[in-house]
Amino acid sequence: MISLLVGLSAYLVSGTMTLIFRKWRFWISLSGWAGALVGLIFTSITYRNSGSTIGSLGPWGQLGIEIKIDQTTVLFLILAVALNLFTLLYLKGKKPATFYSLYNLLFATSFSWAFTNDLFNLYVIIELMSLISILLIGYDRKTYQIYAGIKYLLLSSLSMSLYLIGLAILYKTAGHLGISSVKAHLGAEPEFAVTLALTLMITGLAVKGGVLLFSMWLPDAHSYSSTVVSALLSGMAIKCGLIDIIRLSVLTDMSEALLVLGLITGIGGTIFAVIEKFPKRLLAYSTISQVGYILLGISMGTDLGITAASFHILFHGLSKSLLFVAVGHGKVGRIDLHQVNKVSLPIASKLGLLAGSLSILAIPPLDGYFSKCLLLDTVGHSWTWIVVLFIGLGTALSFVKLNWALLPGPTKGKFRLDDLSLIVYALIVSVGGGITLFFLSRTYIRHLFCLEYIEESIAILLIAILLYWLFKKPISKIRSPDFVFDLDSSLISLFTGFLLVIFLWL
Amino acid sequence: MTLFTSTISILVVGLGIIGLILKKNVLMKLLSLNIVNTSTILFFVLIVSEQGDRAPIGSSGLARMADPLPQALVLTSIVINFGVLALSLLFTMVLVKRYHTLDIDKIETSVKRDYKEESP
Repeated sequence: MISLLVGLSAYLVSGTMTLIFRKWRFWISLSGWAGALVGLIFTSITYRNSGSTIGSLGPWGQLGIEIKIDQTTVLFLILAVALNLFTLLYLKGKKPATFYSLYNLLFATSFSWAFTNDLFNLYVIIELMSLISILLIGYDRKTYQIYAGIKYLLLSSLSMSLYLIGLAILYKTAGHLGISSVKAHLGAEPEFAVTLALTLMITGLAVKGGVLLFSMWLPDAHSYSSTVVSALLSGMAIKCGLIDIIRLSVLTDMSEALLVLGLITGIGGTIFAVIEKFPKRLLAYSTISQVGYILLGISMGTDLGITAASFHILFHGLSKSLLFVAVGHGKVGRIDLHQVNKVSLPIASKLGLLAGSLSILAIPPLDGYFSKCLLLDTVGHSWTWIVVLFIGLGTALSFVKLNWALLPGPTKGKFRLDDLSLIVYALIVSVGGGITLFFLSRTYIRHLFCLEYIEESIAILLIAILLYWLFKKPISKIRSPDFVFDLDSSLISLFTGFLLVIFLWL
Repeated sequence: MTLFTSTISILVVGLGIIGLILKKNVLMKLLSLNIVNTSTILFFVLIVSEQGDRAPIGSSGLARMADPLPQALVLTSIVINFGVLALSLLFTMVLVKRYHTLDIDKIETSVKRDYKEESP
């Protein structure tokens, strides 16, 4: 509990202080980060000593807000703290004080997110996070950013209403709000009312979590907002919805619905990513496809599956934020990949792009390899495995396309501090994953460094390079169907997805 | 009685969602969203008010005491909905100032054109 208090209050205080002492906004934010680091250390010590614990805030027992410290909490906190330091060093004084204030408050919400195990508290934090991230998306006051913000606001507010309806039904049935108390009061055989309530709640969280059919706001919000904001959105904000799905998955067996949603998200996201021509939008679609992996991990329902999903949340967050910043740093977020050749990029940008891409493509010893290994281990050699391979091939194809256009050109620019932070972060993405895994869960070490997986990911990469070399022309001719992501069609697809989940569950 | 009223509140949610999808005017969309949110709160109050409806003041109210927790929750979500509405109206104002229209289709076409024309 101390850890939550330390981290949260550090972020809240620094969020307020940046508005008052505008000149020292960078140093105040840095001290906020230091507080969060202390919170992370306390949390890891608690987790190491007593395993996963469930506590309650305040002296009211079951009426208090339930908090939980487990592996997912620790991993998400590591993600938030690493992302905070990196974006802070990269930004260094470039933005006004109000931006820093919102930025710190965003981290405050995500910090409390990792801990909460209370259904209504989740609702409040989700709404807070969406309001803050909408303000950040529209921060530069460009009209397209405002439009992306409105779309996000409409979809998320609607989805949260659905979540609240589900919450009311669940509260009526179980009489509690803490997830573990609810689980204790539910019967072994799920009733219809509980199933309906959980469907509504999962729909609400899926809109926040980047699941295709539900969160059609994602590509616009990621590609229209400024560099650091899209890194934060993709790295952290959408991961919160997924963490809530992990938390809710203890209540009942929802493997079938999550499996189908994961497959749709993974396959759809890769197809969109392969035919997309703008780098930033390509990365946004690739985020969707990686969310598919995470859902597949959760849908397996085993401990290993949850671990794989949590690690993928961490490692994908690190690599994708690196990629967004690398593309934004080189100012190539909006060039046409099909027409341009030989772009000049700063050297830091190139390094970041290479490290991030290799990590997403699961080449050892980069971060993404470890979580992908755990995931493949969870899936086993069932038919799902073939789909996972297909998604991997599509991802490889889209990243080969990205690097084909951006890497070969000449380097440019002088070496500055933000370059250095980008390079250090790329280094962390390259080697940090193995170290984290070694310290956190040695039980899973035996699953890694299996020759089969290494061969597999390298073979996929080579096939993708060959395929792209052969079919470069036809791929560039396909036009991406952007109208799917308009406001009206995204609302309709949300309800299609909702009906699909209900249909799967009954 | 509770079943009847809560069914009606769910129907109003459905009405709001239909308005949200079918209306082309952004302001109308926001009003529909507000209808959805408000009737959600109505549903929440109705469905948990079955156990009792008296305030626990003195000894007379204890027999049919109302559950105090949902009231606190509903108050929170009313405030959140207010924040969402205020922010969305502000954003709509910015769009209207720039494009002089409330039609979502026209706004979408202009937004895409603006994004393409602006140099990276």
